[in-house]
Amino acid sequence: MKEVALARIAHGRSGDKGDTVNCGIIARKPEYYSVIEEQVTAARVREHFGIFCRGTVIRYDLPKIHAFNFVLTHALGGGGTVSLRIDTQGKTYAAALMRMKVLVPDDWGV
Amino acid sequence: MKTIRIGGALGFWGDRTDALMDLLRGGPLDYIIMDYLAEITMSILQKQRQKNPGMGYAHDFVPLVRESLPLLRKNRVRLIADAGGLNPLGCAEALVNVARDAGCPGMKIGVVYGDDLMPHLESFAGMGIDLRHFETGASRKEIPGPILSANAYFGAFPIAEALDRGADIVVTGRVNDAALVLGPMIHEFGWRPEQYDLLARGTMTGHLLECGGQASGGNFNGGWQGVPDLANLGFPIGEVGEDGSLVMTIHPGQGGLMTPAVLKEQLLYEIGDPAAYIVADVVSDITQLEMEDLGNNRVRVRGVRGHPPTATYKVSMSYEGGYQISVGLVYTWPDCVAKAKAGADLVLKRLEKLGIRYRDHLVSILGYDGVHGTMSFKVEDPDEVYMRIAFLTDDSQTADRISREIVTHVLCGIPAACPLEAGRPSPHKQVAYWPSLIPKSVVSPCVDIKGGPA
Repeated sequence: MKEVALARIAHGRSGDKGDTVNCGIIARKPEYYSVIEEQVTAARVREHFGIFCRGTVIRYDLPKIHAFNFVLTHALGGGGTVSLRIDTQGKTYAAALMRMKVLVPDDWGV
Repeated sequence: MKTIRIGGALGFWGDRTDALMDLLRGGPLDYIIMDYLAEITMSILQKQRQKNPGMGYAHDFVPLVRESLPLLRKNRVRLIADAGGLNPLGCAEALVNVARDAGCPGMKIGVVYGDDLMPHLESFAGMGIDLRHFETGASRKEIPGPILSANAYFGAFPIAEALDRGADIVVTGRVNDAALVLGPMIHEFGWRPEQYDLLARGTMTGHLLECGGQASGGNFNGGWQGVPDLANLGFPIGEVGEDGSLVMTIHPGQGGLMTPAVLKEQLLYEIGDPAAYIVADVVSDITQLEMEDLGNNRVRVRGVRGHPPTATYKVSMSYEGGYQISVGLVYTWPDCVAKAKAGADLVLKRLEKLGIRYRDHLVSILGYDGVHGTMSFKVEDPDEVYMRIAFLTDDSQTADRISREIVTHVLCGIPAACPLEAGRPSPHKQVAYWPSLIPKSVVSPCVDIKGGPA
């Protein structure tokens, strides 16, 4: 097995509702889905975001399109219109999640 | 089977305005929708209405209609937009004038309103309707500043009614974004309120169209290098059938990309539980949704299911917050991260000496860990960074004093620093957001037709 950034096997987009952020994460190939399912757990995502998410993380699975939706609460420093952060609307949170390390088989050309 | 083509020409107020004409020129369409209203937009409109009660709608929608009117009429395309914002009647009146001035006095402008709850807040309180924050559960009494606006998110049936009554253009106040697309489908196909699967398919079509170019190759994280010609990005088009079937595409000859990967990013954008995407008309389930690449920038979407709607409308309220100001300086090599941190500390010490008090602050060092903090892959000795401090203050004078302090650091502070932009930064007033729910039984959408034959 080798360690790679999630970005090698997935892509995604994030956005806001109030102080909640969601990250839609999509496997780049169907065979990558189970790696994400096993390793990119809600608990690990919560830990990854650290102080950026002061609430909870829920993961929803969409196996038919090889995708996941992570919902992070209390994640924008109060919400888009009042946050002091640079990314007030969570536009780059999916990109931040792409840094997470995952283990994949050595023979995957990723 | 009857099929119609709906284009999405705008994803937020401030989005590309040439997309409307590109959609009109690029090929046949039956409807174009334009989504102006994000959570943040309502607070911007509220600030404008405070300055001028005649405003409160997306004023630049009006000249856009003037420009596109000849093609809209020639191609028989009907336009639906939530540009009415906090003042849909004012927006409709402006459009009637534009149509008359353009020599089209017969144009009918449909307007959907009644979503403004401000006049009713006291009576709601009397009825025991508290408008609790739907995330925290906090009572409305705990809102820490004066309420500026309160709007219910209406559904698609009022839009369909306006179209049934012959509207050429429909403007609305606050509706859920997808309703702009579901409305014409209800009108064309005669869908009924209890046909949940159909309403859900129309709603998800709306969800795919409501963010404009983000559904056809814009902001595509899955391979932006492979998106052709973003400068001429073709905005998304839904080909929808009366059974709710959907093929998403773009006009031939325009830029952009329509593939399942592109569309999946938009499908998952700003959603919660995929088994329960809630809007006024229906609760949609996309857990069984499938996409099929038909090639040539065409993607078939199927498998959306619907369930009965909830008994409440979503409500967005806004209230006055504090003042925000962001100040900063560029620091250069060597040791620019250490300089930036020392520079930030120095700003805070100076504010303490000057007796300038603020509610909150946040230091970010861009180019190092400014956006993603602890998640960043930090470069140990970068060439340059930007030190930014955002402050929340009680009043604009305090924010202004902070702005004056920062410029002194070029001469009196940590070395090799320069401003990022000319001039001093200026503060802006925050408008805070309070989402809630209200029973549908106490609010009624209003539909009216303005203009048309005298």
